[in-house]
Amino acid sequence: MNDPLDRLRETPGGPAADVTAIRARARRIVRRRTATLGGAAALVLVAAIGGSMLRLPSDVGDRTRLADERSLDVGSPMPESTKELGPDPGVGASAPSGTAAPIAADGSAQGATSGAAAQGTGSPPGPPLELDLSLSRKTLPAGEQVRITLSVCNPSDRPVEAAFAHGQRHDFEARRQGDDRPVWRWGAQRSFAQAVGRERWGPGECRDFTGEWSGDGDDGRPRSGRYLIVGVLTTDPPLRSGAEEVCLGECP
Amino acid sequence: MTGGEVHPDRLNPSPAPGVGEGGHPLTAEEAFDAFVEERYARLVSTVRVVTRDQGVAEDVVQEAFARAYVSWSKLWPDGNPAGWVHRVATNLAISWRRRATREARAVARLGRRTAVFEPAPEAYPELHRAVAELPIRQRTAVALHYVLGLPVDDTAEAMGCRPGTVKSLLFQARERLRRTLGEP
Repeated sequence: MNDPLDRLRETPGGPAADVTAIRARARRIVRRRTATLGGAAALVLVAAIGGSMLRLPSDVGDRTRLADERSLDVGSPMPESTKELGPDPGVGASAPSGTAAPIAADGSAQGATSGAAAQGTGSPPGPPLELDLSLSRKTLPAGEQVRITLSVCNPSDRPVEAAFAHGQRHDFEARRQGDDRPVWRWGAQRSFAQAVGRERWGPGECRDFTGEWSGDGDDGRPRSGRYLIVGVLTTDPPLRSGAEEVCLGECP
Repeated sequence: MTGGEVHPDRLNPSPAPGVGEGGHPLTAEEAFDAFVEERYARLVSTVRVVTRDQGVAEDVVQEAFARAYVSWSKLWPDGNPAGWVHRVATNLAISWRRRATREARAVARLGRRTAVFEPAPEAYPELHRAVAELPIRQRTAVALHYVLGLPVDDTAEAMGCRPGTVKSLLFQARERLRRTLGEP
């Protein structure tokens, strides 16, 4: 039986490489990283000064201390389990628990998942993971479902690891506009293993997490009106996507 | 090497990496230049199958090589720069394609016309058009295995999945193309 794809082997090559342009682009990448690191250093300095002047909540203080201790490990060998997974044969430090941090080519763990997390842990600001939420529909008639997709991408050229305190990796929340309390959580009716875990995103890698919502609240009552749906990557602290609006039933 | 040639072993093409034709050791810069010259054109063709856009394919591949240049001291001479670049380019291409798909859906919702894939003037336009309609992961496996010429194991490494998954994706792609093209 013929393989119809064998003919693809004859596909001609593309245009010749412009090595000068590639080097120029590489220099821009280095400049961007240098600028990011410079800004991060300033943030760490501000956080350190602020931390010494303010009485921080105990858990934030612990995180800052852990981050400071971790900073002594910059350049330490990458854990074996990490080495096996990544395309980068360099070295790196593992990310702190509850954050997603890229493993830099020079061996240091960089970045955090949000500005708040960055300041709380003393890590340079990220975000190394990008969250993008999309809905299969904007209006939801009774008896139908909206499919929700959370795309989590690592836009950097370094691997990113995220730590989770349990088996749940993502969640979706729906709340009425103007109300902070969610009426529905995707994970509320599900059980997850109570075991810590880590997930790794390769350079440029995206993963989709999906779920459906029928429009009922956690109490089982059908809802109507405009609701905002948010995707959550359930790291500690969690990462939240932007909100997408969906109309249940009749909307003004 | 011209862009049209398929190297028999793209991950380790040289039996003595770091050695020039005259037997003298290559500098890091020379090695990078040779690496780009050898792989750039074929990788653009491969990524083009994934992105369905020549300009984006060139941009993605240039970005992958630029990142390799930044990390070159870690990749050469002891690392696997080809595997590294393949993986970065693959991930960048898939990310771009997914973003483009979402944007196209948004544009379609607004009632505007979206771009239709037109294969470049090359052999077997029907085959290329059919490949362009494959799901993104099947298309990526096909591009890496058939256009770039990677073995299944290296295709799996570039895609960050198991070799069995690649075999399954290639099988599904072949079956679908046979139906589409009406071939036995």
